[in-house]
Amino acid sequence: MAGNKIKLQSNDGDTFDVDVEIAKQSATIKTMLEDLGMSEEDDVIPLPNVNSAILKKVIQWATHHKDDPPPPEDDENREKNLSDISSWDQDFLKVDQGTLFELILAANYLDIKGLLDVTCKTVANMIKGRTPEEIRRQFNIKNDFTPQEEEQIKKENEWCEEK
Amino acid sequence: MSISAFESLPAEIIFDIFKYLSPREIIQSFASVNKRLLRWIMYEYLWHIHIGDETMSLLTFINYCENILTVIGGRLISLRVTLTNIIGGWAIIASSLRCHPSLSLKRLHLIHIKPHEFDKLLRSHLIKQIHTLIVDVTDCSPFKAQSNEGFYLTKVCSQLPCLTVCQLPFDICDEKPDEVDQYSFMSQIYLPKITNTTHLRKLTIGMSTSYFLERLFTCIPLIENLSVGVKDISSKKKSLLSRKPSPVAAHFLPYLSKLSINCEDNHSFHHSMVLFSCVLNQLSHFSLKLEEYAKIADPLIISYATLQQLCLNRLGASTIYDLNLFFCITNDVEQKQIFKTFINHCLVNQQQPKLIVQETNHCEIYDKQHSFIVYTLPYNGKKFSSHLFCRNTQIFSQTAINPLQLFPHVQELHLDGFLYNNCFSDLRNCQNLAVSMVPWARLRKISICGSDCLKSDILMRILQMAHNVRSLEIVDDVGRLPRMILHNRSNLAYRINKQVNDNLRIHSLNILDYTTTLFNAEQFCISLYNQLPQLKSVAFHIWDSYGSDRWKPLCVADGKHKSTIMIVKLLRFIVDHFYELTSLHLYFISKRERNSPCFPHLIRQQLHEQSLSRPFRLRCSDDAIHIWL
Repeated sequence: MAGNKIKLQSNDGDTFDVDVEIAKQSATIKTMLEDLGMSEEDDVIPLPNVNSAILKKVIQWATHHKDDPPPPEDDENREKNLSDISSWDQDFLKVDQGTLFELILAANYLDIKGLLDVTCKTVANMIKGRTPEEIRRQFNIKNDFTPQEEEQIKKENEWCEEK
Repeated sequence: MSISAFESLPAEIIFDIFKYLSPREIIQSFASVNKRLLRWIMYEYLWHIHIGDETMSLLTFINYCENILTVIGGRLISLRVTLTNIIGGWAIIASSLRCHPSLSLKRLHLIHIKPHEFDKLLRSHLIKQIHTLIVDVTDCSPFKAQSNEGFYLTKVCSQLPCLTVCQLPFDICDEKPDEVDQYSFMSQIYLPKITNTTHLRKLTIGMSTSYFLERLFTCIPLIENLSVGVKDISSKKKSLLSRKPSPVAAHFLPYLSKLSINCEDNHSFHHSMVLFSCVLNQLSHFSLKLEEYAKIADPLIISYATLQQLCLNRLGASTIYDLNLFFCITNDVEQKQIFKTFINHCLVNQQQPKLIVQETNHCEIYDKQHSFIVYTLPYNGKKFSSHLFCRNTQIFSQTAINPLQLFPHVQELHLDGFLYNNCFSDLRNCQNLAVSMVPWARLRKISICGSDCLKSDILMRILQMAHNVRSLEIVDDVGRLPRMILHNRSNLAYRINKQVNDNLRIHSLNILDYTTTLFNAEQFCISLYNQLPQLKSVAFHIWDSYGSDRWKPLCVADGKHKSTIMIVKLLRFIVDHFYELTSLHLYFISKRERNSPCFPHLIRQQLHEQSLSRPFRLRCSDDAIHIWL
């Protein structure tokens, strides 16, 4: 029924009243409601993998996208386009790296395809065209290759540089 | 460890991110970052690869296959290959895949593959285990004129026993020769054996007769998602073919939940509605596409009432449906009877899905014909035709306009019918409704047919708004629009060269200009090079005559050699000058048969004796030359 709410509980104990239709963008929550017979009114749905700050962001995203058409079924057929992130999503994802990665993990856990797509695209955009050294710097990754190993790998992948 | 570290993301997430990057980008950026990422890339990641695009060069393609497929081909799950401008591409891929003792390939998507290459591919052991085969073809592909119905479907199903998803949008040819009698035509139908099709869950095929479909439906018992074209021959002489099909019993298609029908005409619509009458109520999704060219007095004419009675009323209450219908009704210009049946429905019902009804004008529509389109939103077509430029602003303005959502699949803007349609002059105005309803950012291609009312500044404005467009196709019988570009009118050539910046520009140009002949082709190429030297893909047509100038090489002493020399000189000029060029298509169009100035064996001989300045592959016939560089 339109206007029905459910309660979502973050792993740090906060609960959020959310429209059922908005919450059902999460396939995980949808399954809980439909298949596991959880009632919409009384039960609180615990989300042990999502903290309060991230859950709030996820709900904000889902509320903005509540009228979006369902994502296409055969995703493999579609060209993966990194430039089609809406301006609202771009603004929404202007967050620090930690928050961005936590949003990805939450989208993955809650199975919200649209959010997972747009967050992965954002990270892919951060990676595209970067050298290994720039990637290490960007994501604070330690180089555990010896100089000889690194040189060998670079040599094997020289063809990548050719246009 | 803090979650903010990229490394602490699970592999499945990293792999999701990889899906947005090309294999080259992944290897280039990640292989030497650290040991863990290298191990994932080399030994764990299951690759989804897209090879080729419309401007991929011969050397890059070979390089890609040799370096990527030989390294990670064994863990290749999904392969998509764009073969639009590629010659012999599958053979190169196959030779790189053969070095792997076992393959994991499950999904193969072939874009614009040629029939002889597809035949070879089907014989290959490399794809025996795939469960998904998607084939996309262009409208001018030989696959769009099949004489043996069901031939490829039968062949594919027998060669690929694990297939669950199959898309073969191949059409039967328009007309059968009159001398072919109805029974011999029937013998040209091939049906897959049911033992080969028991895995099929999703099937897309092109235009087929209802006779064929009636029989096919007994062979695909587990099908869930079906997309078919229906094209029945309506000639009274072919009485057997024009007979009504029997309704397919629901027990033959017990799992069918999604159905998409593309009807060639009203005759085919009526047949398909009979055919599917017993399964419409079990569908969760239904999609109908139709083109109706009919006289108002035609007993089979489709009004809204017909559509409702035969189709919409038979759907279940919860069925989601979409419509994409085009009507051209002769002798209905004043009364607009059929149009009004749809308009009246829209005025009475504010139901979902939102139905848009709008009149259209088109240069090929005669005075006595009334044409209009009916479609639901979101629109399911890939082409945004000038038909869709809304003339009835009152209807459309009731809809909240978000073109990216209303036209989610559109990639091409097709401008046609300028002669009667003045809405283009408004394109200068950003607030104009036509401007605001086009999903400009989605457009990758603009095709223009006719240039009567398209001024250079309007095209300039269109190019500015469609900033992601990379491909421009022009059909212009008087050559006006190509000349505007070649003379850089309104800075058009400059705009094409730099849509956004040096990297984002139009790189593919296809011109069909009736004024280009073998005698002025070189000057055309020089002008083209002067304005657009950075094109990667060029296609143009050479006519045997324009006006009174006609030249028949076979009627001239040594004409074959003279024309060959002219053509080869042209090829050399283009290859030498367009330094970024990867693909050249040259088409020869003659008013009469055997007037082509192109003699393939002589062209090959000349290029063999003195090769082009860059490595190339050549495909050459009487009516076309294709060079892949």
